[in-house]
Amino acid sequence: MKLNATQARELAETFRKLAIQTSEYRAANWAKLKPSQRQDLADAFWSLLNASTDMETRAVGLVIEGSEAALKQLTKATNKARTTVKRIDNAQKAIAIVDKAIGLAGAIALGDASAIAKSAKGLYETATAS
Amino acid sequence: MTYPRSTWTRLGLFLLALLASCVNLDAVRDFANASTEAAAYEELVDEYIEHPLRMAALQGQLDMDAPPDAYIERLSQRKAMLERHEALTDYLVVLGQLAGDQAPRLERSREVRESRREARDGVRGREVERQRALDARLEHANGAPEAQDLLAKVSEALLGAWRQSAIEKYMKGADESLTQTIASLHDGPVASIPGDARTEMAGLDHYYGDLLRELQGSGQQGVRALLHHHWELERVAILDRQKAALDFQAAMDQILEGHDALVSAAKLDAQDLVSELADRARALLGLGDQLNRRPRTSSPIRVPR
Repeated sequence: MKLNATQARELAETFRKLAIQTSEYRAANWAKLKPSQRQDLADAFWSLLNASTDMETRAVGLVIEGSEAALKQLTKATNKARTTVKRIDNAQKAIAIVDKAIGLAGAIALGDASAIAKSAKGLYETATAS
Repeated sequence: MTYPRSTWTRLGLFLLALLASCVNLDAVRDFANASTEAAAYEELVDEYIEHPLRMAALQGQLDMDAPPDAYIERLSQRKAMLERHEALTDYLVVLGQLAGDQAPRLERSREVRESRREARDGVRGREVERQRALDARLEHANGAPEAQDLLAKVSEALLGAWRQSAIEKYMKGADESLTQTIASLHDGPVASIPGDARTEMAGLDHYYGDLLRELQGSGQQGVRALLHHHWELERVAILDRQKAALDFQAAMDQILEGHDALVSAAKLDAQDLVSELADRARALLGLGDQLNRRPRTSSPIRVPR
């Protein structure tokens, strides 16, 4: 049977608790234990903690595996929406260009050289703005 | 060509309806921007990856030429996790862009009017009169200011309606995949960090416990005090990482709940939605700030025992 992420984390917790109990037993009986027994218990403690780390790692692997398809779909939806953002930006820019063009037309109608130059500059800047 | 009166009436009603349906998307944009800050926080992925190295160091077995298998495995998960951060961040950035500046023309019209006013104030005597006359003729040539404002408002309403429709389509289209991607960030490395932290804390207590027991009766008070100090510092670093993971998960909850509220909202600027999004944006900014202000916890250097 394949584990799921929650079960992997529950196993990690079980290993961790066993490790802590082992370490507490070792500390409480320090004086009674032979050096070799202390070492055996320390080895068991670290093995259990490492098993806990392995289970946490596996849990993340399962989460990644289970969300691959969603990641692809989300990326696709975002890329599609980017096109819409560009279209809206272009429409916004078109409105701004029309605005400036009206200003330039007005200045030309008046025959005012400085206003024409200013409006033309404004139109050019709006039209070429990225 | 002349249009019958009913055509103008219909056009007028259409414009009125359009203006009435004008949607303010500021709350959506602010929520998206605040969410982006938190979603882009990737630091915890690396802290999760480095946990086996910290554990190996506690065991006196840290050898970067032959790192622990769990470290190699976690390192292989890095790219996938960063892709999820990136996908969520990109989604939120685009959401913010779709809800972006809605009143370009209106704002620009105001800017133009203000700059004209400033220019007028700066010119004296006959020049003032000449400028005023020119402005009046220019405004006349461009149409009356009221007509310009109406045009600006109609453009704004059209763009706003377009934006709203695009946002709704975007959110609904991405709904399921967004929920799952947020869940993967919520249940990924940050969900393992609290467990890892307890593991590391147990390892740390064992490591320092042994050192202090070995020193018992040796009278080296200074060394013992220093060990206690380091022990405490390392515990603080672990607790900080644990808290950061919880903060990140809280941020993911806020984003998901905000998204759910947006998807189920009838109108994107409904008062209750705006107020909910504002609360969530504030909470997200707070969480993002806490995450970005925390110091990076590095692996301590240990002398092999």
